[in-house]
Amino acid sequence: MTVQPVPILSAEHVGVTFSLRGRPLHALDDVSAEITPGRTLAVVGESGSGKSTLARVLMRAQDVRHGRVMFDGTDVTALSERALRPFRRRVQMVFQDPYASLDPRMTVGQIIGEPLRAQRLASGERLRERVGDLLRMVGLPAEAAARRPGQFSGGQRQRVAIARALAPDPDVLIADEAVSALDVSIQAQIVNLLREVQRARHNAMMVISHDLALVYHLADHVMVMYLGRVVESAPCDDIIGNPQHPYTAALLSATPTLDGRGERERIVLREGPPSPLNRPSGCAFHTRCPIAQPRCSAEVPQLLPAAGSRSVACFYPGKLAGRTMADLTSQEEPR
Amino acid sequence: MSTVTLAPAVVDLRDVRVAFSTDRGIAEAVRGVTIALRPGERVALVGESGSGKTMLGLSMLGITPPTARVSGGISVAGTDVLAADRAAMRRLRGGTISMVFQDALSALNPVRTVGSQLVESARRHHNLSRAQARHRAIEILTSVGVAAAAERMRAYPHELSGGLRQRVMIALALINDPQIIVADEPTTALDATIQAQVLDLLRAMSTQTTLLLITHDLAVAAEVCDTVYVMYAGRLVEFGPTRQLLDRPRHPYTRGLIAAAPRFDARRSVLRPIPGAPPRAGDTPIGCAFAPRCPFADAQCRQVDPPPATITEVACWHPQEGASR
Amino acid sequence: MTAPLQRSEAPGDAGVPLADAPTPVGVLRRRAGTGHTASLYVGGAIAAVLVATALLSLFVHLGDPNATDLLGRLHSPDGAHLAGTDELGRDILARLVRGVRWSLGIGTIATAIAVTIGATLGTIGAWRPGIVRTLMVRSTDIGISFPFLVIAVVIVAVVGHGFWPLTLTLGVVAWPTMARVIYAQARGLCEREYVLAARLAGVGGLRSLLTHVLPPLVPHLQVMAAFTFADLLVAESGLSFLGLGAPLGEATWGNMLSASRAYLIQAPWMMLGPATAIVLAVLAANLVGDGLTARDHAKRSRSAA
Repeated sequence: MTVQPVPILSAEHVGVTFSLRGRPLHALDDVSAEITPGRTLAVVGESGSGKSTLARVLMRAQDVRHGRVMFDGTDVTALSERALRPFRRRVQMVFQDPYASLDPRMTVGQIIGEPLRAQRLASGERLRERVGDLLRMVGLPAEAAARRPGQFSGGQRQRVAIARALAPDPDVLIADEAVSALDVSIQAQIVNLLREVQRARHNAMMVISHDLALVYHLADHVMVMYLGRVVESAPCDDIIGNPQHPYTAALLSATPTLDGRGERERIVLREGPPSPLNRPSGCAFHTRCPIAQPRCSAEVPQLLPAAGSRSVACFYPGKLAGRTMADLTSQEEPR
Repeated sequence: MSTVTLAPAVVDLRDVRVAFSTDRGIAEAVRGVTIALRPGERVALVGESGSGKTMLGLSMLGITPPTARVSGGISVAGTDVLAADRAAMRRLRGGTISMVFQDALSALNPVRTVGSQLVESARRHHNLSRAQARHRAIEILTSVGVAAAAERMRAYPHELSGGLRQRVMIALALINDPQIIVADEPTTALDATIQAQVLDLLRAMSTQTTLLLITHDLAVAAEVCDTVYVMYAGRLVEFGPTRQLLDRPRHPYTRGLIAAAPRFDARRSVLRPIPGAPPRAGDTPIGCAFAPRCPFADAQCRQVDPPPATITEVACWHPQEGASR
Repeated sequence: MTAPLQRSEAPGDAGVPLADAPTPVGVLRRRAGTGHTASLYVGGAIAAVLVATALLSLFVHLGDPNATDLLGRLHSPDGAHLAGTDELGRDILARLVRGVRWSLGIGTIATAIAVTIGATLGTIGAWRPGIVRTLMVRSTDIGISFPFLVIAVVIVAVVGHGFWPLTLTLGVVAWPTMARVIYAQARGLCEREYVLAARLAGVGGLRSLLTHVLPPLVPHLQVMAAFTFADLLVAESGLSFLGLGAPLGEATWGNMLSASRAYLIQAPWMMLGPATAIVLAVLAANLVGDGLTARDHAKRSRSAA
């Protein structure tokens, strides 16, 4: 058995609870994740799954109620902002909205150079050189440095955001829905760019996405989340080829592909997604699960390891195989 | 191929152009599009940013922004949209042709209940009493999969989840039995599982209603529609039956879109993106608009615009043959 | 792989800076005209004249505001006294000119105090949640609800009449409103994603505030300053009118207005002089404020994409 590389950034049994209108919202419930140098972890889920909260926890932009965050052997869960400075240099994030994540009043050069100036990593001529290098790395011309974000397209702005994230030479890159707001042909450019960057720098990468098809091209390992818990975690090929959790299977079948419907039967979910404020008892997915049994509403399934570095949180993993619900009528609860 | 007598087009667009005046001159968002939709057809209009697809959709209902200048022939169910007066257009919209927008939250009136909006639309287009309209509204809400429709009628748009709101929009579009529904990115803002449900809904619509689905996602088009029109920089570059277009695309842009789209392969191949970015309206280059990004472009492509796409020909000087992958 | 530089594209489809969906907002967002420049120029011109007069009077003798002439009292405007004389025979025009210095001086300094305190507190309250924010918001609330005249009376009672007590009063009274407006604006700005991105990149709090939050606030500050100035001018005149401001006999517009009450029928020019001056000054400030607002809107809608 080959020696597994050591994860550089990890969340261990993390729990995050918000208080909304006096009621608790369990954004994350006993979630663990590991990001390893040279490999890409994809976290997939729909709205309310907690995937963005997990990204913020790992970025230390969100405090946790339970669990801890480890970075390079150090417990960074409770460190002050000042103590987190070195951390901030080594873990960087690319945001979803290329129109909101860049200050429209600054030039591209200033934006990319900001982390370097703030962390005193470079100044003057060195800074200008580094900005030029970074622009080149992301495929933008050197003249871009003098222009403002408003003069660029969404895809180009995202390249700027990536260049900014790469400026302090981070060990970990977290991409939070980094391509969702872009055109399809541009998405492909950015996905390839992220792949290239990782291949060249061997950094660890985490990709948050709702799009399984996109994730397929980027990820080594995939974690599927539902209402704040991890329901399935497996190597990318395994999870796409042979999903064990009914939700993963439903997600796969719901993803539109160019092959159209074909022979693929759609797994129709009953009901709509429950409100995170009103977590169903037992397995949170049981209200929509086509194979739910009495046990599923009574007990919470734990994330248990299965063969081949997989884990599933389900009492009946792998049992789904093509069962569908005949009626289209669905009932979604209001928020 | 046997000759089939085609039913008269329910939407007939001829050389439609939509232009804006900007500080840089005239910018054409739509540069001469000709499309004919037949009753019962499910057509997808696919394009990326700057393709003009949304403007084209808006022009069919006569709701382009006031600063837009629309020209060409736009005939919807026999009515000339550009020549019609306001009263005629009001009868047309919501009654004969209706639209489903991308963002239900901004398309629905936030200070009125969902039910009142449905009832208002029903009463405006048919001579119904309030009770009859209410009944119709509940009927249509149930048919789009909203359970407990009678109670839901009393909800305000912001009280409903995204998927539910989208169903309400579809109900609003369907309530008067329109001949044509134009859906502009109806599922882009929704979660995957909800998107699938809404797409199922669109697919299951009565065969009498013509559906024009505007989307940037070829996969969504493949799931729902029988015919696909591909737009780039304000022009049609290729169109045809869905499977044929996806299996044997001939225009380099279509081929590029297919190669760039993520899909579940056995081999985890690298995505093949199209370099560059689509041009903005008003910034289209001379000659073929796609030439700057096209691997097959030559001098002719950069100087002369190819002839418009037809059912047999694509808008390209060098159409490609062979399977897409 | 170099992508050609192009103008930005909205996530939707329109190739021009207009709303994507045909909502009414799209109709309203026409390309902004240049209506604002008229306000700006006219207001600016009046202000320039007033300021020039004030400065000039520091160096050039434009008449003695305190020279009494009991024989020539209550003379209507004529060649010698262009605005007439008051009840003590003093030249009204000369007193108006002296009043400019007083009014502009107090207005400017008090506004500066209000802007500085208000902007600082407002920004800090927006930036730091928790106890700091609560403190700032509550003190602003208290400040706004405190009756203006009570403050004035208290300060005068403690410190006495004069230029600086008056300035202090007005500054103290004006900062809460400023703070509240800046707080509201800054809240939105602090929540922008690029501010979060900067923090996550290790940019310190103060630096983030200075580079990301403060610059977009400047147009708001300018507009608020203009309108605050106008309000304070009126307030100053009111206080002097009530006897809470300038010492008696000092040539201020408020005092002159107060003194003119008794002679309204006999010598209406005594009232006209200071009234016109006050109106002009306030008008100028409001016009400048309007012009700045319109220019800011025009800039905003032109760059919205």
